[in-house]
Amino acid sequence: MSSHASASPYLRHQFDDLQQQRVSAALGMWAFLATEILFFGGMFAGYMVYRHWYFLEWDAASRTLGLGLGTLNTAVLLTSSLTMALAVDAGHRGSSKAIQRYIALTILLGAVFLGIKGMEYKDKWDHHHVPGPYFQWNAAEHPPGEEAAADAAAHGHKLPHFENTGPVELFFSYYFVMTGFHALHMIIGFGLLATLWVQAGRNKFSSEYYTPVEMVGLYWHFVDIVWVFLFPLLYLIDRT
Amino acid sequence: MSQAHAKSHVPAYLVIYVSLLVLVGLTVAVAHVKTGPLAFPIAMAVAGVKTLLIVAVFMHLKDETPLVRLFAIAGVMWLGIMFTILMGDYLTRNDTHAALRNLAVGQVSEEAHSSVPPAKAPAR
Repeated sequence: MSSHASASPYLRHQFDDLQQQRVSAALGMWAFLATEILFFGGMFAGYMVYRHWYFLEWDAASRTLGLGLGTLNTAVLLTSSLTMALAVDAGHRGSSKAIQRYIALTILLGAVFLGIKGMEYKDKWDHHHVPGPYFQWNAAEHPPGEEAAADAAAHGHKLPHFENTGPVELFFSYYFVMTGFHALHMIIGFGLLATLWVQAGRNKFSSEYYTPVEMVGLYWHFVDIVWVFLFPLLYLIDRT
Repeated sequence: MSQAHAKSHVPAYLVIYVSLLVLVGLTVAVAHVKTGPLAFPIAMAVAGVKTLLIVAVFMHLKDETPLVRLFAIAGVMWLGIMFTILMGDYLTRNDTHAALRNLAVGQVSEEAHSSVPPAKAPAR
């Protein structure tokens, strides 16, 4: 209320002080992330129902995803979260050079992630595992895990014979839509990060004001968390 | 926040980063073990711990004001309501579940037909 005497050049007039300005930004960002949680949450909810319903088919389909590339990509994305956290720390220290360095690293790691994702998509394309008129599925080549199959038999569920490949196709639909929306969020993230890189180059930030770096950091970490759930749900249904 | 934190966050970030990689290794390893019905809860618990580490340290939620933390919790709470109501419905449909499932995968048998009342047969 009384701190206008030494007003910072970063302080917008509607705020009392920089602390209030920063908390307002954080509050708005978390409100946005709550809507993002529910945006992805709808897809996760659909996933849960169909995974429950068609467990054997989804078990079998999940086993065809490349575990090595998926695990590597998880590590790459977690590393990009580390470099993003270090970029925010650089902002805290007021070093524009370090902000730029860590943001460039974050973009690079994000690009590696999307490159690996692209290789995986290519593999699905080559194997005709993309839902649509050219979808092909050989049930004999891709059995579900033994334990799941035995458990289903014990409960009186018949083993799928896959004359109707619909449930398997549905798994790949969820795979492409969920990883696709995740990738779209990363591409939007690239735009945000590139903007920060330019702004840091123009010395827009200081140890007193680096809120945009912090807020983009929140977004990037959120996208990372979505992958933290997508990875076990899509790749790790059953690897026994 | 800017004045109070003179000491560097970097060592904490590195500890969290290494912990996250260890948890990735753990969740991949557990997926290769026959844990039956526990496989899903274990995988989600590991993902939940990873999320808590990222949210608390990388996203600084442990240093935020209570109002900001409340907003973060609200997002997860709505998600919880959606999942509770949705799965509370689907997980309690066990009587028709097997029959509906067999219908959907094309295994239409006499018993499947008889256990599903005609009026409730699913639309294709």
